[in-house]
Amino acid sequence: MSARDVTPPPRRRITGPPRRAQAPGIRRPAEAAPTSRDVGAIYLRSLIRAQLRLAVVCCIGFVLTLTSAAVIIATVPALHESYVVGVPWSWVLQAYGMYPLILAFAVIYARGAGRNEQRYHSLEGRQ
Amino acid sequence: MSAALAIAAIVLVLVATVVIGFYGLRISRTTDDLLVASRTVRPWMNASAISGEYLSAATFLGLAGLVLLSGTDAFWFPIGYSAGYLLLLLFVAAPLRRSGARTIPDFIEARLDSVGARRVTSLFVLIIGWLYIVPQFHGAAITVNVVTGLPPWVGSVAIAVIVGVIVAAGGMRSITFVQAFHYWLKLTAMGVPVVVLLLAVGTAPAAIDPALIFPRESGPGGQDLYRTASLVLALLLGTMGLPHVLVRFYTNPDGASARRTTVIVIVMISAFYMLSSTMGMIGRVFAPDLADPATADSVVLLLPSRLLPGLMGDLISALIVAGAFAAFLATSSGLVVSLAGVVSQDLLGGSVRAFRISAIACATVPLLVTFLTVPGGLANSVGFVFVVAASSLSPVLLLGVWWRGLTASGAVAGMIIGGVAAAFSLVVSGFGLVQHPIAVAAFDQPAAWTVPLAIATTVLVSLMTRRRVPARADRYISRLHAPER
Repeated sequence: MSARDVTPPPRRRITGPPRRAQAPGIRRPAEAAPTSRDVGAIYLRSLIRAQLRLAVVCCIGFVLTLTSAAVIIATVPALHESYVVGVPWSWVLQAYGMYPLILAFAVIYARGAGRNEQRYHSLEGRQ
Repeated sequence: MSAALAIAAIVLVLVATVVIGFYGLRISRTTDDLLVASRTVRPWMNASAISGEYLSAATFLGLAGLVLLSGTDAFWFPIGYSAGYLLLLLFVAAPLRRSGARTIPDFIEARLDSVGARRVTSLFVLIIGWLYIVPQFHGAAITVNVVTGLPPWVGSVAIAVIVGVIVAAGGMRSITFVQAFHYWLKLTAMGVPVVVLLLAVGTAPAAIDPALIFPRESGPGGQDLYRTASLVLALLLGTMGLPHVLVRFYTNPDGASARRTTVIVIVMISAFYMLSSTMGMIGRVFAPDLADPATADSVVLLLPSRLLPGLMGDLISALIVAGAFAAFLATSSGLVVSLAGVVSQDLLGGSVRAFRISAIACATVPLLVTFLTVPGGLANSVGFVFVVAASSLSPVLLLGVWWRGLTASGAVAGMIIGGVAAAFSLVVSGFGLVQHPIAVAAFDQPAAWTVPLAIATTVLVSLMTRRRVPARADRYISRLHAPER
């Protein structure tokens, strides 16, 4: 038995399961490219979400800071027993100490909000 | 105290106010000029004007009076006023500037596409505004009475006439200059006396017992947790619902400058509050006899002549009187501008002439109320206005800027329920209708439950009328948050 006698199996094309050019439910490429308006709306929506997240985080951070400062001022006995020019430290801190906190959170938010808007501008300018 | 010097100071402030007001008149011609200064005011100028308008009788006289009367509880008022601008900055400053609306009712109508919601909003703007003007007129009455001995009504009438005329003649443009001037005047009129008094008492030997003047039970440890928290909530949220505060943000050129303006405002008003708190603590040391609800509000006026003999004391007193008058003038003129804007737009067609007529009317009504009511503690009566604003306009503004599901029915229901609950609390606590200590606290400082009630009502009714969400809601909210190029 020589190798010549063996007839090679007929060539067959091996293929995978038939694939559709496109999955159902997705628009054909000609229509699929999102218009610049859709992209703009997505960018804007993500800007709104980012601004809200920043505002809520700053708000919660501020309330927690203010509350803990108030609790410390009210409860630490040393603050009521030591004086600065005749006034207890607890009074001094209550009268003057909260404003720097308010300002700090205001500056943090204003910077962050400006950055969010700049990011939006640069994304929008790129398309 | 020299009455002649004090009267001269009052006249000087009035003359300066009128001169600056009419200087502005030459450049205000259209309705837009009158209402929002054609949106060309720079952040520093605008921040001075906002601060000038915001520092009212309650902080100029009332804060030091309340420090004298009740101790560190009083410091929460200015902390809340200042932090109110932080909340305004976080949630509404830039979006409301971009809304393109001139007044709060304009914003509500455009956002909700409903004339009915607009009318209810206008009603609340008027009520809140008038409630806020009355203590200013009371402050003027106290000041004129204490420093000159003239009957109290003279001060109220003088303020009402001046404000009505200035607003009718020049509108917002001249008001912007006037109020910027008033801020710097008030800062000087509180700052110079504080420094001079501190120098004077620094050299005089004062045998004081700190434990007696700053007792522990009046200090931070003695505060009632519920009352403090509820008050701070009202002050935090109430600021954004005050009619004269929001209208000022429409005068910024764009959203980013509205934010810059707010940060500067926080610096400016905080500086003033620190001075004013200092005055209150000086009062505790040197004027403990004034610690009575009837006289506490006059401590700032009386302190200089007690500590400084002769001409120096008279001059410092006159400066304080000038600052106090600037406070009454600035706040009430700012309120009259925004109320007149609302009345002329809603009832009279929005012409320049209609605005002038409304301005006169909006100064007259609170004057009549002033005659009918007895002055209470200035800080507390202004505190109540914040409760009403925080329970009616603020929740709707917040939700209008951030939640597309808000409907006209939800907004109207929330404003009415919240506003009625706040007013009901005032009546209950004013007439002492409840006895149980928990109930007394809940009605004295109702914001802790009226604000959540208003928000819950607004959200629930909006959800029930979900099908009536305005079709343009998404587009409108996008516009509020899209930065200008």
